[in-house]
Amino acid sequence: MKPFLILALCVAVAVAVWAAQSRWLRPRERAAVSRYLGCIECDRGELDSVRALAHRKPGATVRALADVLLNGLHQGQRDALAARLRRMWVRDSVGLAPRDSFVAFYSTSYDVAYRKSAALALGWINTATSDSVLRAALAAGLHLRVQLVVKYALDSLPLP
Amino acid sequence: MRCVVALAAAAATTGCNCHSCKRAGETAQGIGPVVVVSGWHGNECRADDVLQLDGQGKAYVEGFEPERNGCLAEIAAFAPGAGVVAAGWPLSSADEVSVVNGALHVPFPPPRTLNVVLWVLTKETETPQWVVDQVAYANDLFSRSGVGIVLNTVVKTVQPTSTLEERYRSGCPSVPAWRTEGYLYTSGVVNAYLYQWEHVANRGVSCTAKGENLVYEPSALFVYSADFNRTLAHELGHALGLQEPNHGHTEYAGGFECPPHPPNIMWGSLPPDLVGAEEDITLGQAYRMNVGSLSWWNLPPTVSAVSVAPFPAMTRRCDAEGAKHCPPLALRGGP
Repeated sequence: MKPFLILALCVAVAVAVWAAQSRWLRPRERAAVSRYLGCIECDRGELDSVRALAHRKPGATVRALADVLLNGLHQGQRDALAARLRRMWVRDSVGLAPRDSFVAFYSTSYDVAYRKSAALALGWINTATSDSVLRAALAAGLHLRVQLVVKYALDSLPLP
Repeated sequence: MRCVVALAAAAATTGCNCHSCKRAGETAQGIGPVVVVSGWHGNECRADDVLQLDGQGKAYVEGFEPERNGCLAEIAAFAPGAGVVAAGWPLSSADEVSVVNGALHVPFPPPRTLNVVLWVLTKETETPQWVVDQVAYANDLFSRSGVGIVLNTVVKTVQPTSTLEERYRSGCPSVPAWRTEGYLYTSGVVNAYLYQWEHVANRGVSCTAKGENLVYEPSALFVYSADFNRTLAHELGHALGLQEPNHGHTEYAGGFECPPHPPNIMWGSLPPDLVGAEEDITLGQAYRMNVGSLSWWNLPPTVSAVSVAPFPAMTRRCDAEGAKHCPPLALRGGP
């Protein structure tokens, strides 16, 4: 094979690898998104990390956030959460709502929390793609509290 | 100039593997005294180290390995006759290591009551259910982790106004004025401000951080979300002197991770893939909440207004000449 062809092949492979890497988040990058979604004080640059990631890999980052906003917790996560909430209720039951109500309330609450964080990040990212995801979420009939945050993200973010 | 304090005799104990790890909640009746070692590197890092003798010459070691701020791994070890050391930890003249020879045993003596006033900004006149849930979770976690602290909460509902909402959103900077005015603030207790704020990602904050542009009010914390019923417990952990695990706890200590690795309440995030996992407090954290100098219990009475018998402490400092002039951190843990 001629050197020129080998070089061209190498370049093509490199471009393909780069393109593939741009399409998907690496485990560390996915972890950064997850860490932001569940952050408590959020004062360790969690949102900034996601925004920086969106700058480097806009498509992959928005897709990851869109998955959380539109689909919420995955089934396995919901099942694990519900099991934990049932155990929690048995331990803490004094003063709590009846078990089924408690489990249902926090199953929804945790799910809503992650979706709201995803919506806020998409609002901060503020690209045509992220806005289209937010508009799709508005039309998707999500939980009212999520809808309010989605509307806020569309109308008011990023803050000046 | 750095100096390294090392102890070869106890090096074997630093390779703690899972079956020898003890976590809070695994009561250690009959196990001997415990010492807490605080590691300081500038103002950034410290360790929650609980070192126990089990009568067999072993030591249970909790160490830390912060990922930031330039602090390297610190593993302290303790063995009969060997004393306490910080091994592999670069100390400079600006650093210090203090050793508190805790007279506490596991489990702790009868639980102490931590008085907390919950200032709940709500249109409701009754205590919102989510507030009850936050308290229940904190009490449950502290109880099953052997922390030895029970919350005694008083709920005060506060009718929201636009001004008050703004003050709650401002967080810690609002507290000094409340404290001065005696409004929305009670001396001698932990003041927790709870308010459902939908349009932010953060779910809570404690006023325990010191630094430029930060307001230090160690008796105050804020909870902004009803979604995670764990937030009050996390913020109370800060009030009682805990930092996030990568700032002083055990989760990064090499070889110390016990699968399935449970999330720690002090992690600053509960990512979706851990939402079903039980959270814990390590034994080191439990001790630090009780005996640590930054714990609300042990702050000056003007802040905490709680009288707690001081624990005997030793502080060692390296001098500027380097390793050979670092004092050994020898402290026998035996009775």
